[in-house]
Amino acid sequence: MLTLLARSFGRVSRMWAASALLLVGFQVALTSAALSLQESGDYGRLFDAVPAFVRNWLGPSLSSFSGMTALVFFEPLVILLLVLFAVYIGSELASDVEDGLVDLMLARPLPRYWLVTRSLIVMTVTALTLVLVLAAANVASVALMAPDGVPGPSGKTVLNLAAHLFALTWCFGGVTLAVAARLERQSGVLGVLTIAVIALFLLKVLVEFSKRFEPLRWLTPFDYFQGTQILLDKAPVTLDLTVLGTIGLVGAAIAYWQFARRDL
Amino acid sequence: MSAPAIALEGLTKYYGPVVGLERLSLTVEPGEVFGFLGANGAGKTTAIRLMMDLLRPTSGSAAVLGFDCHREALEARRRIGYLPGETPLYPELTGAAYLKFLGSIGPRPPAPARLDALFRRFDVSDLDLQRRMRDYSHGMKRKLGIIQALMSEPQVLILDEPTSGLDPLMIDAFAEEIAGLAAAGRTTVFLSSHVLSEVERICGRIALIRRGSLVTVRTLDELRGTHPRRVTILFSQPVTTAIPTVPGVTTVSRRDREWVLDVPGPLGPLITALGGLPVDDIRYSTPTLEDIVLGLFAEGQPC
Repeated sequence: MLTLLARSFGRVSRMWAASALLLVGFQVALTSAALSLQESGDYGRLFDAVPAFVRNWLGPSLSSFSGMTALVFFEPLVILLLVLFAVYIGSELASDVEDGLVDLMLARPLPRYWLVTRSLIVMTVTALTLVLVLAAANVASVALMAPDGVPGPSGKTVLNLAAHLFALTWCFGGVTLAVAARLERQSGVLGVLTIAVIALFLLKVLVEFSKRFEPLRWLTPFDYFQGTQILLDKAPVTLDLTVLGTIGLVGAAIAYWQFARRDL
Repeated sequence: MSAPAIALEGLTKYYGPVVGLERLSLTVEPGEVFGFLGANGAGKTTAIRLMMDLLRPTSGSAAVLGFDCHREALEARRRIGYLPGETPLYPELTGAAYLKFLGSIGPRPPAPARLDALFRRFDVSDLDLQRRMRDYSHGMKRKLGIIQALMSEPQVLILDEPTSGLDPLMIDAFAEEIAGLAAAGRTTVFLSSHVLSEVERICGRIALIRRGSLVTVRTLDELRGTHPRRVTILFSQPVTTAIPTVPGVTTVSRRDREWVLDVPGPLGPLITALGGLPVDDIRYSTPTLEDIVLGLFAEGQPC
């Protein structure tokens, strides 16, 4: 198993490193912007300038240094980067089948479920470490750049935001595993999941912008990561993490079941 | 009594309504070099993938050295070296890293002496092994594929079209390697092919498969024996008498000075029957394996 893990980690290491750099860069840019707004005293004007629906959605992250620096955890670009990264990693099973590598690996005395476990571990570890890199970048950039006397986000807030970001990423990674265990082409998995991710994200946006879509709120995993509510310490943290974790677990369980019985 | 190296019992695979393989039963004894012949799409790869537990049978079973290929898949695969029809590769790995990776997930690490012998046999240099696989030619990829199947010295080798893409020298090297394994008697080789000359050279016994169904399982001598020799009898003067009746002999054509007959079995009875006729010459041709196999591949041939 260690050999399989090493091979898979090796294959994604450059992509992981590039993503980690992007996340650190994003955090540094956001902290710089927060610092600039803090020094110019423009938070109030920024809060008033944005449309009401944006204010409702992003709320406290637009009104203070600590909120702005914490925004990185639920900024759409960051969320989509991490989710799509997990989707890519989770699609490894289909890639192995498509390239015929599964023939070589399973010609050896390896149980099939090892390949699912390998992809699950790689997806989990890479997603978790990326979120940890982001959290570390957040803490470090605030420590290094915050003006004297201006607090950054609390440790509990950073922990909650990071946990939600990881859970959301893992949720989509688990669902990807289920799809990848069924399909034979990685491009098919990436296509299906990318469309699903964007559609569910759009649903989340629609839910935020229009009351008409409110009944559909529960359908999108993105709704179980309410960044502004976490900043206000009003988020149902346990419920959200349970829902996201359960979706990911069900996806992983389906992947094990599907991969064990399918033709390769 | 030891278990057969490979035992297939009524092995059947349907892809929806399409027949991949139907009721394939055959046995390969330990130490045999067994050829599995069939046209493209006949079901050779399906049978092999069922043995490797990559496909799940619709019905029937396959066993390797007594271990069921599905229920005891790990035990079966612990004893198998497998070469897929297409050589899968990690393009970013060097040849050396590729073999190291596959050796480390195999049943046992390959012995360095065995690897060196294979590198020499297949003319793979250190420089070749340090190149990334994405830069390999098709033949080079195939050589690495063969080496990875052989390197752990498995008891059973299952090779899907092993020589496709190899140059004649490497086909020779492959044949020598298989001959060596056969002589040592410790390895059973099951190889699929549609290159008849290769099978004729390497295999002791063959199975022919057509449209998913087994046509015949014979030794090469048995297969040749089932097919008549074509005998041409030339006369020194025109002959108008009837062709003598000899059991099994059929007439292909006759002219005044030439009869062409198909003769199964020994020629003696025919020669005896020709006594008194002005025979000038008798020529005969033995059917090549290709003739036989092409005949069996054709529709309507008996099993």
